[in-house]
Amino acid sequence: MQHSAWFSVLSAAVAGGVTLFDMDRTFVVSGYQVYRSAWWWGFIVVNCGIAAAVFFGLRPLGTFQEWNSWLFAAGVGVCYLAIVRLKFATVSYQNSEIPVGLDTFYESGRQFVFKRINEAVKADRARLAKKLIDDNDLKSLGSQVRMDIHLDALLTPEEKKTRQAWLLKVVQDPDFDEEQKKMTLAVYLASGTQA
Amino acid sequence: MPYFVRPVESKVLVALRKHGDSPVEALVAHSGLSPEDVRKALSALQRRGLVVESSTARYTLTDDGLKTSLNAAPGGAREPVTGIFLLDDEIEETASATSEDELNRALDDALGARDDVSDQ
Repeated sequence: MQHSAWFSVLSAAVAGGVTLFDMDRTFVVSGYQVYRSAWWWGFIVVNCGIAAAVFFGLRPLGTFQEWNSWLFAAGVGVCYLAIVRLKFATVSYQNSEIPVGLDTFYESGRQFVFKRINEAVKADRARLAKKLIDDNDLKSLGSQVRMDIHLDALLTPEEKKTRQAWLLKVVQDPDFDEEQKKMTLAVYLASGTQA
Repeated sequence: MPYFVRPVESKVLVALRKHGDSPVEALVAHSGLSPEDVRKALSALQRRGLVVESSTARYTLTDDGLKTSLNAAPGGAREPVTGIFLLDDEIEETASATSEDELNRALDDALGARDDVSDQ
């Protein structure tokens, strides 16, 4: 017996979560501007749609009809990318092997969307860095970076010391003028948290 | 996220910029590092998107990797590139040879934190 079509919603939801986590890992965002981006949410919706399509593609196959419906739907949500990335054939062209499959389209589309999101993230960071430079003097920015390092629970003690040594060098470096020092510290603060 | 490029990674970036896409063996020869150090550096640089591996196990710089490698060169501009910051040998030595208390005292002095306390 075929799984109910309603289980495609579970596949789509799991795929949406997987995509969201992937994007969150790739783009660390200091502000919330990017979450209003149509590219961000559009890409998640497209992935939900792909997972649902894979669900309906695999559902009629006898192999999967004995599976528990929840397990099948969740499995599709987690593994849909592996299925999309299957290579159907390999073509030889000018002494190189070119894999043929949906992966080429998916990966090109992913790069296209990620470039646009990256532009939005960079613009967001530039706005934040400019505001930090305008609103703070060097001492204040240095103190904020110091606190950021101190409060970052994901840094090891060695990494904290390395960053403190870096901060000390930036603040004291005679080769930097005050504006360059402020810019460096503002960009650090605008770059978000440790991955 | 801020990413700190270690001196070992800087050497690999500079070698890649000078010699174009290269396999690990060539990077070992050009950078003077051990194969283990080169592999670790490549792995870290790939995770940060500064280097990509081609299908033929050769490595090449991305756009951000190229900009960072220019900053890493002696006399480089040292402009921050999309949250990427360079560590040099001096910084690593300071971090390893100085206790946390000493670093904090030095930062207090550099940032004028002690002046603030005495002013109050």
